[in-house]
Amino acid sequence: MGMPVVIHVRDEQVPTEAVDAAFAWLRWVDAVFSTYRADSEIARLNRGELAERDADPLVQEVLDACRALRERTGGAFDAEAAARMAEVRVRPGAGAGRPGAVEPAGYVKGWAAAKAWELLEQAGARNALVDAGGDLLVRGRPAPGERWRVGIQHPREDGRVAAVLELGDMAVATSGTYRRGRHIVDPASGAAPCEVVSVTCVGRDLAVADALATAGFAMGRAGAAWLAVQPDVEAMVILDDDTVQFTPGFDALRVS
Amino acid sequence: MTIHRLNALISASALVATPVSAALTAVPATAASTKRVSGPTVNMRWGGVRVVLYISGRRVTDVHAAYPTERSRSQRINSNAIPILRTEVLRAQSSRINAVSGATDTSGAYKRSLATALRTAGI
Repeated sequence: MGMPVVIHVRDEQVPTEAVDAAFAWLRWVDAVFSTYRADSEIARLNRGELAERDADPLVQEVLDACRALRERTGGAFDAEAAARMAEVRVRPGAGAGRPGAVEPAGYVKGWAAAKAWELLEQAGARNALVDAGGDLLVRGRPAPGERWRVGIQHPREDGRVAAVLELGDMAVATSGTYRRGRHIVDPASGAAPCEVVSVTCVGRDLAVADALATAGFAMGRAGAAWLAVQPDVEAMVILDDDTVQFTPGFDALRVS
Repeated sequence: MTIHRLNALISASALVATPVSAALTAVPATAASTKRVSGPTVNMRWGGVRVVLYISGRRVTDVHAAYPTERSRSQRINSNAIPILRTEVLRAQSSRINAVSGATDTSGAYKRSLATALRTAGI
């Protein structure tokens, strides 16, 4: 999926092997789901060589979840539209614009990180951070008496954050346009939203937070109002006129 | 035990995916009080970057990054990204945050991960 992953476990008793197992899981996910690979199951699905019903059950689980999110977001989160994006369709496993081809990475990243945490939890971890390329989850505490503190990247200034949150068992995901140019399009118009520069969602479920941040960003100006009524995330939206909008629940998590 | 790991989850067309499971490992340096820490090679979409941190006591004193020059695109993108990386890592140590959430992009995700690894490693 083209991203570094950082795992920190703060529990003495958790064996190093548990972290190795979590990374082994992430590598498996990459091998099965990546559109950068011509030999992943997603690549074979996208070429029409593999039927979804014959794919790994976890591939079917992910594609079901992507379809549910497409429904829920009114099409703003759409794995098929993602596969048609100019910069995605040139990848060896993206299906070259074939109808029905999918790029589920917008869901897979958070889903895989959440399952990596489940592996660590089964090995006894209670206090940890899993950071998958800027979408992350925290559990427990970084140290006794402390709370996890998570910054939200400032959309234009490197090395600065736009907010700091203190979190317990929570997940944080951010979508935005900074640095790399616009890379998310509204499937309805095919155009990049021009007014929202960054959308952050906080919730219990990293995969959902990630997908809703992507969808909220793709909705442009309408995204903030839509996110505000979603029951399972709190949101912050930064616009290109430096306006910042929070849901009340997001504001309550802020320490700066 | 605090486990800190930087791992690259990359499969770019020009690269064999090389998971990096090594944590930052300390390397004795020539100067008595300065140690050099070699970071893992992190494969990004346009090539690998290896970061070397110079640490004096608990302070990061310098950051160097080596990056591929064989392809013009790599050079253009990485030569643009790396001066920013220096600033980011040097600033990160003064921050009281454990991690930064931000949109996924090549240099940003990498920089944040390095900063997260450093912060949580207590450097």
